[in-house]
Amino acid sequence: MWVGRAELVAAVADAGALGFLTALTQPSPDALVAEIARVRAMTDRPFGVNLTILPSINPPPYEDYCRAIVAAGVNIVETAGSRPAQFIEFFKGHGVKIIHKCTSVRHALSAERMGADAISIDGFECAGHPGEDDVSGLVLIPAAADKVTVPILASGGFGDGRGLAAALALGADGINMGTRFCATAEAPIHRAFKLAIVANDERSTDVIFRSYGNSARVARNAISQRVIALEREGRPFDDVAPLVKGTRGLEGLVAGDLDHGIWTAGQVQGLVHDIPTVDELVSRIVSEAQAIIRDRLASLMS
Amino acid sequence: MRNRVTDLLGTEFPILQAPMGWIARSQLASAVSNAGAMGIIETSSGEFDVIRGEIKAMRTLTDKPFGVNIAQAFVHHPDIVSLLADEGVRFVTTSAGDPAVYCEALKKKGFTVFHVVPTLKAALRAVSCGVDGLVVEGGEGAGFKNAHNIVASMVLIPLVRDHVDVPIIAAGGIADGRSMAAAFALGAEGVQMGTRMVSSQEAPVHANWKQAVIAASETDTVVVTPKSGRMSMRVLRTGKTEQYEDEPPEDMRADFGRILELYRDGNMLASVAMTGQVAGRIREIKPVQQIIAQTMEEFVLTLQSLQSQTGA
Repeated sequence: MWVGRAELVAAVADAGALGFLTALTQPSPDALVAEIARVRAMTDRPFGVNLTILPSINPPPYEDYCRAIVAAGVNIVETAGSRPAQFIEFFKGHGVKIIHKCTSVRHALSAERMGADAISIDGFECAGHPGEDDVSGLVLIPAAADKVTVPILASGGFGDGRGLAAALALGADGINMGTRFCATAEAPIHRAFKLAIVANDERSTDVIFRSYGNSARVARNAISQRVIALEREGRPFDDVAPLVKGTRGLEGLVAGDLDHGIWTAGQVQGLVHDIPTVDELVSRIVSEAQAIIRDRLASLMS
Repeated sequence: MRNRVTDLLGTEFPILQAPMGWIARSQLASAVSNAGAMGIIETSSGEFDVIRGEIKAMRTLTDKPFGVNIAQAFVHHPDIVSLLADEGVRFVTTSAGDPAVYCEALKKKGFTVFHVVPTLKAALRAVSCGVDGLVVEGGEGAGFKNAHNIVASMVLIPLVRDHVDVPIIAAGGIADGRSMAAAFALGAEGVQMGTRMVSSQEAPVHANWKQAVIAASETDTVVVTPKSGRMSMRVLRTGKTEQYEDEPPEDMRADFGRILELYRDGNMLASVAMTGQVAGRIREIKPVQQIIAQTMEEFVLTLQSLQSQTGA
């Protein structure tokens, strides 16, 4: 959210990777169309749009966003969240390639049956919504690869070439990164958050909303700790809603205030030590993975 | 295959069997050693007199290297280092305690010492004590966990790798050659398997538990935390853990006291069955020799497949 805007998406595309605008970062379908045009002004490479369908305090007009995405000529969409069938069907009907992001093998299989062209599978270590099963990538990725026939993107815990090589070993066809891309020169977020990701260690995350069945991994801060304390007291969601509403999070993101609202980060922040350009990051990951596979791992077979 | 771990351990393969309480006895550990990997005798049962007999039995069951785990929270014997040295043990893993307690004495007697760590902080402490290597346990594994901060192997292994020079054994989530290859890509130089070994033919546990591992999906473990907040552990989801959901135990002592009713008698409601998430990837009870051989075969095939994907 919020970081998935034109500046980052265009930089990722230019680096030879696939960037996604987050549809719901834009306040309206018209604003999304304008953001898509902004990406196109910056790059002629392919990019996609993410549409996340989750319980929300004020549900957005999902159908209008879908129509806007198709009308703007975007041909790759990442769907995420609950009950994606009607959205997958709609996009497929318009020739859009679908990557469905999910957190369990059973949801991967149902998305495949719905017609998803690829699956992005999210381990428990990820930022954002890891689901309620808490299965880590080392187990979840090969478990999915054994059953899913469409290509798989490994998600959660990835930030360097070692992770890319590991994901490929486990049977994935690529990796998906969020937290790592937030700490890049082009990510359109306040520098305070980039520095915080660099400074934070692997344990500096909290899983909130567990008691509401909508777990989210966020960077540990004053708000996440208050939310956890309220959940331990058994408080209903209405009591924490003022702390976690999106507008509050956005205020913090814009102001660079790390403790104003919740913001997502994965365990991989423990492996993030710098703020490179996107191009430097992508090149480094690919060359590191190649070196691991061709040199370090190859030497074990001799 | 040769690397720093096989050189230190004197084994054919850089694979260790986890020192599971009551399970990692001579029947299982000797099968692992005879298969070219590192069989390890447990002490976390606290039954040290029985363990001494198990170590003696190892000498007759295998002529390959084997090790002993000193589970510091559970075994207290003033002469344990000398006793292990007298039995001809050369490799020890220490766990569940301060690595400083045994490291120096073990090193003086010529042991190769690895310490088991769940965090970077613990890894740095162990290295400062002079250990030869680390067993790094990701949160997906069975057994004791910090329930409030479960860090996955995908992050923990490369993180520790960045900060230490000693070899790392990846533990948690490993059951085959693919997961072993992933662990090596992340920076490990060996792997340890627990749940995969529980579901081997030679594991001295009741068939009910082995079958439950085979039947489990990757979502069928839970981290149980007693009311005391101490000693959270990852175990198989069973009727017992459903009872805990309704009424968490004050602590685990009463149920631990009945653990052999589950392990040996197969009463899955008597206690908890320490099981990792990787249970979801285990589909067959196999002889240890086959597990090790197939792991190594798949490991090499996976590395070859990675080579071809990079066009090398």
